[in-house]
Amino acid sequence: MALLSTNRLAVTIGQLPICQSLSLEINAGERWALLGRNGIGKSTLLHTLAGLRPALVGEIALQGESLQSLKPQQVAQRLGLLFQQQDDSFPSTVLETALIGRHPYLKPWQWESQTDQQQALTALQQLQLEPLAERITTTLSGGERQRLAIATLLTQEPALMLLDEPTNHLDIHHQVAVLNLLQQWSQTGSRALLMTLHDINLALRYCTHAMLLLGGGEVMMGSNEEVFTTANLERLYLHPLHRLEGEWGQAYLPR
Amino acid sequence: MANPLQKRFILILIGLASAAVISLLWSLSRGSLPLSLAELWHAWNHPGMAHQLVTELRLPRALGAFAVGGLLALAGALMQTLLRNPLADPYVLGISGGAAVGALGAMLLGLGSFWLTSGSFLGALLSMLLVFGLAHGGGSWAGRWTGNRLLLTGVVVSAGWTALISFMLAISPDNDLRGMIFWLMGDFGQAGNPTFALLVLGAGLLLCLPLARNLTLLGRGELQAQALGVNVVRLRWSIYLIAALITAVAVTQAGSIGFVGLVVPHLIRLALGNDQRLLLPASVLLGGTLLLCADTLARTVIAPQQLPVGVITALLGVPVFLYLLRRSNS
Repeated sequence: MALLSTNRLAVTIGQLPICQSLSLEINAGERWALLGRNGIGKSTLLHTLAGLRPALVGEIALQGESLQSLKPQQVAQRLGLLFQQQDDSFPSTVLETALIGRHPYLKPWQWESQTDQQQALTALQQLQLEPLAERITTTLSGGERQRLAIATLLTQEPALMLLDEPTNHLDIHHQVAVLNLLQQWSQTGSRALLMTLHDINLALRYCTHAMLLLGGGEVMMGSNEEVFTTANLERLYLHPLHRLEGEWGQAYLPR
Repeated sequence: MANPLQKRFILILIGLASAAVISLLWSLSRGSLPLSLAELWHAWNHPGMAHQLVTELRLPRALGAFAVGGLLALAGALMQTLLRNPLADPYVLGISGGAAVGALGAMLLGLGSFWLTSGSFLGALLSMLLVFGLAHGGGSWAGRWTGNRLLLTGVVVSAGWTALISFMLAISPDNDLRGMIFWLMGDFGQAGNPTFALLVLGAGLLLCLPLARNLTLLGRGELQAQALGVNVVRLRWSIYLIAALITAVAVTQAGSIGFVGLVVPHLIRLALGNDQRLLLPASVLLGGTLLLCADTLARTVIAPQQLPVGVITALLGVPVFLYLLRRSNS
């Protein structure tokens, strides 16, 4: 069963259509790249798919069940969302922040168990944040804060991750490390992810499918082979591109 | 029960509760007739003038001060999270202004203490509904800017109440003025039976505690909280109603005592972090204890003259808070 499916979904920002009649299906093991120009509605689409804002028309289903029929807590057990920015208005430690990922599994009076704690620590370890466990989040660098947000998402253990620019603030090494980790994650169990990226080459390397938001409600989607062509990408970014090919694969550079 | 976090929280709360009990004993023994602990124990068990003094005058006043301090600190902690603004306090939505207009109106008309109490409670409720209705208009309650809109509505409505208060002070006869000003600064001299305030404090805390983890998440942003399974709209409604009602009860009990609701949650946050499961009960205990001590000072420092307790809370609170703030920055 598809982890996420939409039926004739239409989403708009104000008057501008992002997609019209979108029928998307994300299955276990798939990694989707969501690509598009600035302001085209990538984040808005992700938030809509996560149920944070209503769609104009159409339906969204998680593992076959309509998003509206699920309680917020049930949604959070199936679907996790990485935001583009994290808000730290009130002080908290790195470990406390990772532990909020367990919230969807706890009853109102229940406390985080040792197992929950261990899960959060493992996630911190996977992102090389364990030494910082007791630090206050406002003292972290941008890249560390971003990795912490991803660790929180791993602690949440959803079947489907929606990630808004997971490589934000990360240096090249950590971009690759994080994407490797997410790739591994998506290959175990029945999991999938959909992420917005600004780097075509990382999308090519780490994703199996792509969805291009072309503007005006026009969407192109399919497997990498179907979607990634110079013509499509030039149309997507309204910018001319070079395509390079070698034994290492292919890459696109802006002209 | 083996959870180390739980153990730590319980130890801290036991410590704060002990401080509250010690302050209560101290408060009962201070006054025009100072009592040692032994004398206090004797007076408690033997009928007589000292017994009457302790059980009928000092104890209700002390418990009233504790209840109001706890209510204000709880409401302040809730408001700061709800509005995601560290400067928020229980009065930020105009509740104290509404209560003051009601109370001063009753004084101006020369009505008795029953009307003074009812007037201030009705004023507080009216202000709460007014701010809520105005901020709710246009369907923005579910939207992203609700916090700011609510805050701005509250600030503007407060300004309106302030103008009305000034007007009432200006037209009042001179011999009413002193009572009015004491009421405005917060005072337990006229405060009545504290049972209701204590009950509301207990009920408020019990209602909030199961929401505590949700509130901690709300402090990380509404979208983040929603993405982790919090029903944000329902949570906001509940918190607003609880915070407004307990503020109304506190203001009705003792006028608008400043500073406790703003500073106590920050003191706890600076010292113990922002986990609301600890923050809420700890704020209640610390707020109650501080106001109890402040009121004891207010009625004894320049006895037989009494100071409005709000003067003491501000004079003590400002330096302590500034010290903690400096320490936490370095």
